[in-house]
Amino acid sequence: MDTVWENRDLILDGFAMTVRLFAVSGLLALVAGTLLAIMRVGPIPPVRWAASTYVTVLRNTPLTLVFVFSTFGLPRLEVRLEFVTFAIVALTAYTSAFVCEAVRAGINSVAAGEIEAARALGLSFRQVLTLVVLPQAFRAIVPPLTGVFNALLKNTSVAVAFNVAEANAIYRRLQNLDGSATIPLLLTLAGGYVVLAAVLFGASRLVERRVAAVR
Amino acid sequence: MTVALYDEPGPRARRRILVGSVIGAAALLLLGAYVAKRLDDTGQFRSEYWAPFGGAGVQRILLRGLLATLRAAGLALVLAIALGVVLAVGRLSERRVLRILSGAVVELFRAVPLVTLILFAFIGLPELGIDTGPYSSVVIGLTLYNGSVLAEIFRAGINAVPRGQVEAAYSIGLRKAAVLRLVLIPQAVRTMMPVIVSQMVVLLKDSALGFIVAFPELLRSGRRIYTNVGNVIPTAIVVAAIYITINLSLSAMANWLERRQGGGRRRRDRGEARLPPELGVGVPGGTGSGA
Amino acid sequence: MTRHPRLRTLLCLLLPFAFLLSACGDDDEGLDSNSGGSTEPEPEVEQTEFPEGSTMARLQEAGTIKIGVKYDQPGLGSVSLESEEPEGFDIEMGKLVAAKLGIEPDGIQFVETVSANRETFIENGTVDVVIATYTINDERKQVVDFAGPYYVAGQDLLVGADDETINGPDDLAGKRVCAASGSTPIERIRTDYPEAEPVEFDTYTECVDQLLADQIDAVSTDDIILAGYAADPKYEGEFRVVGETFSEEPYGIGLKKGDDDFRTFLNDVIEGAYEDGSWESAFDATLGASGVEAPEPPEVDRY
Repeated sequence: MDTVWENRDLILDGFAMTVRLFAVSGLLALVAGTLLAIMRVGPIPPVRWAASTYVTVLRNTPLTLVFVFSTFGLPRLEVRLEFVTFAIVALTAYTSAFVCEAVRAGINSVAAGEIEAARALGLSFRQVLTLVVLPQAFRAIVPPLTGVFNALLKNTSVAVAFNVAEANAIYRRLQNLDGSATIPLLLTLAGGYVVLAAVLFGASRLVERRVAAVR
Repeated sequence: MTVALYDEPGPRARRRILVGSVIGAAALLLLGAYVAKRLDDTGQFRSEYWAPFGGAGVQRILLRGLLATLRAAGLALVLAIALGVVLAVGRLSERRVLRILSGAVVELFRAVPLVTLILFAFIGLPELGIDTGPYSSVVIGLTLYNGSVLAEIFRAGINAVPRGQVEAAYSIGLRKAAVLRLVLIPQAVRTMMPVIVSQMVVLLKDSALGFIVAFPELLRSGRRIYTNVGNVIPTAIVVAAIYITINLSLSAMANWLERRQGGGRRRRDRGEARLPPELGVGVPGGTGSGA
Repeated sequence: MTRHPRLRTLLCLLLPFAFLLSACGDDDEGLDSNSGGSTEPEPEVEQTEFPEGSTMARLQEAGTIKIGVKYDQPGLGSVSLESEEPEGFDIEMGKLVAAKLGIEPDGIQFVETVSANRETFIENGTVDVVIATYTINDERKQVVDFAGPYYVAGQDLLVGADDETINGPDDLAGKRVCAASGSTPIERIRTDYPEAEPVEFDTYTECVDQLLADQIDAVSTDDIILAGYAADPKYEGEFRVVGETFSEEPYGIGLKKGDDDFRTFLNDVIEGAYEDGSWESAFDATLGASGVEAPEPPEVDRY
């Protein structure tokens, strides 16, 4: 247990990095994914096609490969960023494809009658989307989106191999320094993730309840 | 499009869509041209970057990596299905201890990242006196995670079997175990077939995490190529193409299975089980789990 | 079967995977290598009587040995794309050991190790020995044992050919310095040069890749490894080795802790290789090719 206690600051720093990766890429992926979803349901064929190609490609590529592409590929294209930024790029690019699918499912869940009613009132495509469809869609997608974010939380761990000092990297380093502390370190690590997941699900339930009340 | 977001376009709208298409296509072409120029400026189309893929050595490395990936994912799938059934039955058990225990296992392995599970199998289990290597660590990690995910899916599948069937089975004198074995699980597994195949996509993608324990799967084989040749981007493109091709074929298979089972109404008339839609598992790749 | 058409579908789908179950215990899918093809003359295989129950007797009986080596360190242990076998000084040392155990060249299985998993591989039996630029130190001695050293290197820096700002470890303040995860160099940078910004990847090749892309300022590890990269025709004129070593890295052969007979045997193999000239010719055929002259072999430490 000593190793865990003596290095508590380092371990907390690791989890702080995990949370940072999660928060920044989560936010960016939410924006990008929503834009992609709008492109996918829009009336313009080339745009629709481009968005759906993007989603298909990213969803069928391992995240680790996306990381390789960002951390080792982008510098080859003379794109030079911090390593943490490369990780955020990879996580955002990957997660936005899944956000897109969740949002699209949400859009599809809005009753056709409401949309027809809105159109009958003379609202334009943009108005229908922003006033009627998206607000309702976001309510319907809280549960699937929570799933996507839960996956993102866990996916931040892939950064361990790409020079980001997140929780698993700290774990691996400490384990390397003191092999006898393997089990306490692992339990701490697992415990940290269980806590973070619990916070995420708690927040999701809170949002769901608020949204339900508004409805 | 099932959504009535916009009308069947009239002449004006059609003109607007045409204009939008032209602008959209132009923007995409510009973007594509910019990326292509960037790739060319930095020499990514150089023949010495692409020629190695024609060589027998490189192809052998990729093939071997692919086989290792399929082997790990395939074995993990079989084991995960077994674990999933055990955990699902455990959660539906009448014994409270069993229910709580299975529930805890499922929740734990769903909350902890696969990276951590693989690291645990690789470094932690040997500390506990259980020998593991790179291959078994990847398989153990994948099995624990996907077994827990499948357990939830199976549970939903079992719950989706119409109650009347269970009552009927009891009324003809079957015991609980027999009901489970003869009535519930066969139907649940059948309904789950497309989901199981889609889970294979998740497994295949996640097996790429074998790189953290130096398991020579497809991605790590790719790394061997690009660290030798220095062609990260061409190799990443080739490896991605392989993954995408396999995953899309698996998805197509899942869809085919679903369609074959489909004809929804007829099935429901026969009183067979259907998956509750809110599970959201019909989409290949699940809810984006894993890496 | 015919009564359960869908169940049959399931079985048909799963059957192809059934063979995987039998492959379950087979853990090391490392590129097994059957030696041959090396320019170096193969060491002569000797059959010796070993005491019953010893590791040597077990390996001799099995006729195979699993050796953990690096796959990406030019000159020491590396695999080219078109070949199936690793090459380098460490590999030659491995062949010497195998020959003295009476193991034929095609009984040698090379398994790729990275810096972070060498102890684990020894402890869990994935490999019998590790010969992978493996520095002997007290921390590692707590979990594994070492024979040797068979070579002494020193930590140095690799920088861009036209970078004149870094001429030694004291110039590292504010610079990004890359080394392999779990290696001695990365920990030394962390503790002794806290002003530098440590960067870590799995392998040194990835560090070199990032140096080439200007994402980092220096790669730090043993001089001999860096010399291998600097001399690699692929990176001609790109890098320079600074030449100011700031540590001593005695390379040893790692083995399971407490196996003293095996350690004594390995030490005998190393000393024997010093005496009969096979150590020097192994060096000349591998590291020597990049222009380095074979130094005086270090004294074996029988602790």
